[in-house]
Amino acid sequence: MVTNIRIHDILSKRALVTRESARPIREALVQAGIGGEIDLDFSGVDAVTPSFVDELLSILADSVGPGVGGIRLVIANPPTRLSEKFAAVARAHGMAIQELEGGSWVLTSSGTQ
Amino acid sequence: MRIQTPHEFHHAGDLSQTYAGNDPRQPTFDKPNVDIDMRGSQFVRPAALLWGAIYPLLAAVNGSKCRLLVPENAGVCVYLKAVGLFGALQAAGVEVDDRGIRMRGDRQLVLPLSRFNSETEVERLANEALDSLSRTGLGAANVHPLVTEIFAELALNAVQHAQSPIGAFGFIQFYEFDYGRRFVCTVGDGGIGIRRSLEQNPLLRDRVAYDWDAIELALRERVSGTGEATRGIGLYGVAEDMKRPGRQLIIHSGIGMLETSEEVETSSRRTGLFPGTLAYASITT
Repeated sequence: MVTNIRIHDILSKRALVTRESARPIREALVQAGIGGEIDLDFSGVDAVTPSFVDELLSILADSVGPGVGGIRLVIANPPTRLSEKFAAVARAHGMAIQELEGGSWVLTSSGTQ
Repeated sequence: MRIQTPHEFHHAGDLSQTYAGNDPRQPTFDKPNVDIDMRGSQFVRPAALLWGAIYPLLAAVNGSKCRLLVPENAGVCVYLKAVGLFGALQAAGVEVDDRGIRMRGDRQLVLPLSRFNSETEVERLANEALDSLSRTGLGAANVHPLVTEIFAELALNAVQHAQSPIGAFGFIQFYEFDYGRRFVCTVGDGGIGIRRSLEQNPLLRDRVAYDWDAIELALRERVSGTGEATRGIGLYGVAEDMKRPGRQLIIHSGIGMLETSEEVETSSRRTGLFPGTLAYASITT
């Protein structure tokens, strides 16, 4: 099962900066249901900070819960190219991140390909 | 007490420390009158401009009667007024005689000098900056997200860690020189400085004897005053983004200054006092 969420439908801002801004996504995840893959579409968002992404990953980890196994998170249409600062955020959550040919970012937790 | 700024004023390190070394954050700061004398300055760079806001505002909070003696060069005055320095100081009760200086709209000013105290305000300013960049079309569009992210992260750091009695200030400007075009993001506060912020983490207290040590440490991954496992990415991330061709990051906190760029890698040193923390990021476009 793939969970699809369009971020701009929930957070109608072009720059997502604060941890607080990420919190409405928790409710959206609950309503959508957590699948083996979570696709977050960032179309319409033009800037995100490491703080926002860090909070997003914390929310995901809380929503998935322990014992569920690894998750695969796809960030489609990210506002920027993948850089070291976002890789560092992923590392802090025990996740690997890579940029796909189309520009999407894929994050996986340990045990997931 | 009168602090005279130099002909070319780049940053607080350019100032004679006889008076500028008096720290207006200290309860022992006892100067009843403080003049910032910019009359002889022909060039006032962004980092210097922010010092020109922070120092007198801190002195005013400490009870001093403050005055900015504006540059005799009318063009410099028009610039400083357009950026918002005069208005910010006047709003805080600092005397600024700007009579005859017209308010000029500056198309290259992406975000005028803005005062902020909360993360919500930082996000609002970041969105305003993006809208301004889109509207004016300055620079390359693919750099706009990076400029906004850098400004936002530096501003968030100020709000989260500075404990500044006067809040924080920041602005974004576009420059077009003969040798290229660039965006400059400058953020500053009158807070406790990076060293004292990191000292709040017991694990780091013994590693930050000096301001320059503290700035170097703060730019490493997962170093923060809070000690939380997932924090301490902001300044590290900004520093990593700046280690690319044509980019430069300067952090000035207390008497320490650090510069990082592709050419310099990282170089930290002792310098004149900045009463708080200032970050200056320059991105070529």
